[in-house]
Amino acid sequence: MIAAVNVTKTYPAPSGALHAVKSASMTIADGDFAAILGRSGAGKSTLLAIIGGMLRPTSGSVWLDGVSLWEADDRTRAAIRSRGIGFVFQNSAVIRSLSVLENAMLADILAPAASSSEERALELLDCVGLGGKARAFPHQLSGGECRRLAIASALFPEPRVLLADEPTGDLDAEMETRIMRLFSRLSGRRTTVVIVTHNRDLTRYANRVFEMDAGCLSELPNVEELVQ
Amino acid sequence: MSTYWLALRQIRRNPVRTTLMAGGVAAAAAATVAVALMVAGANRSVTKSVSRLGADIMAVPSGEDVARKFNEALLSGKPATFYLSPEQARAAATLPGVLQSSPQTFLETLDNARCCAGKFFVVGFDPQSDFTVSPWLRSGRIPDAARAENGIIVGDRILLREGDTASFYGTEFEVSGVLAATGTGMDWTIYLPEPQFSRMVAQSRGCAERALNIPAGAASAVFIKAKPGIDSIDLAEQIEQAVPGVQAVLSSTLARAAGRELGGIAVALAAGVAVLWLMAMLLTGVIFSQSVREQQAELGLLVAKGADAAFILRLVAAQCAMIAAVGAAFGCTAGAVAAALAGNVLASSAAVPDALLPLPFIALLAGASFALISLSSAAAALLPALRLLKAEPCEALRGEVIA
Repeated sequence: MIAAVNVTKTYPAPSGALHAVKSASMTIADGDFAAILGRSGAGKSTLLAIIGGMLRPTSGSVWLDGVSLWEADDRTRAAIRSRGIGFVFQNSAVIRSLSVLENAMLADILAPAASSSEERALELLDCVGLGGKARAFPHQLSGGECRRLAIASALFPEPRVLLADEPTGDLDAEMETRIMRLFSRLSGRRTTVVIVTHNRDLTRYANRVFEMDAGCLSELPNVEELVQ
Repeated sequence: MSTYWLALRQIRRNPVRTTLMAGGVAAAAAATVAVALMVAGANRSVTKSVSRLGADIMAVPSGEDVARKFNEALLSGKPATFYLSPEQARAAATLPGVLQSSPQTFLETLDNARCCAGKFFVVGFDPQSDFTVSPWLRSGRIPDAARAENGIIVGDRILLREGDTASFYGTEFEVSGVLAATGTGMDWTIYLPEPQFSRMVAQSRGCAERALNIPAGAASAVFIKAKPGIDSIDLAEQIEQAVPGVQAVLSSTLARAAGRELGGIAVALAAGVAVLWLMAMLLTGVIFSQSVREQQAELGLLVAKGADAAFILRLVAAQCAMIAAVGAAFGCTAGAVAAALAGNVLASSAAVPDALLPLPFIALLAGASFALISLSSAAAALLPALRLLKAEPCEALRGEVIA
């Protein structure tokens, strides 16, 4: 279970403090598929980074399976990120000196897994439509392909929580459907999925929908109504 | 996949930067090893040469100026003229603790001597009692030189060889023997056996441009070997107390003086190497800072995926250490080869024997330099990595930590 309690993130700015997230609270149960909607600059990526243990909040707390993420030490937080959280970044970060397959297996460098890890990576690459490009390097991929590689890499360690920031931003409609169905399947298998998007169409895959506006988070009560 | 494997992949990404860094490290390593080996070699050469003079003590006239000139004459062949009276020379040579003694009388050639350009050091010695010149004879024999009517012996660096003639103070001489290279002032000295020396002094009054006024039996220095069991320092004190106007120079003091002289050069060279080293480390730091800046999004990705600080530091240090190790290996090898070549050149052309150090010593020094350079380069690279680790993973991912 993920719980964010009164999370606030403030940045210093010339014109005074800039409140990226204002006292946001949310609770997401295991296996939930949550979508956070909002315009650019609304603070949704900031909130996701705080939930994912990658950006320290100015105040408030985040709980992940009973552990207070920002009260834990760096090593514990790193271990949680390594084993418990899969993160798909907005900038589709990959390591350019590694092949597509090696990027997909990146978690192996940090925590070497069993011998079947290459098979799992190849399966995941197939799932995201990159099976034929396993030996290619990131500079040979398009933006959309890099995004899909980042998704495969995030799913590789079989995380209990998947956090995805605009996961389908560079994808065509067919690939977008494929990826979202993959996320739905994961959610069905008790993986908690939280995506951040500005695309309202994607909310149809989610069972919980939140909206962020100028740093304020609110949950939308009726998902079907929203999709309509 | 391991950290080191990933580090290798990362450094292969930018061959120009890698080569530049390795080159900088190699230059510092080469200079360090070469200078250290050459200074150590030269020090060893001079120390060994002084110890091979054969004398424990040299009795010379009192005075700091005389001691300085004597050191210079012995170490660099700079002409020096000072004299003990015949009584002083005799008294110093006949003290109870003296096993063997041999007097030498110093002169300098006139400016227009036919042998050589400039003033050269001329030493009159007694072939019967000598034990400091004869061990160095490379060709010819001292008795032959002494028997010959006008035979002389020359140091290795004097441009005369057996059969060549030279004229000093109006007397014609023929070279009867040449000394081996000693790496000391002996290489630049012309040795006249006693009968020839006295004859030259006598003839100078009639036919030299400038007459020599050296009393018969006078000597500039008496080279003394102590009896077994007699302490050189005690004997030196005994000489100074028993013979007024005489100071006793210990060969160990001379070796120390030579060491001090070399020490000055070594300090200057070491300062140069230190500057070069500092610049290499600075270059490594700057280049690697650039490298970490380029990699910050990727390092941020690794942190985001759960890499801890130790992993990131290991990855960054491994990259730098690998490059530095390759550079240091090339540099240390090049420095050792350069020092070995320089040692050979010094031994053959500049008459500095024993400048080439033993192979185990060279290997040890090169190994130590290799380890030191690799480690310090890795340390220089850690600074930008630490900056990155202080930031939030999210900021590193966006490439916002190192501008």
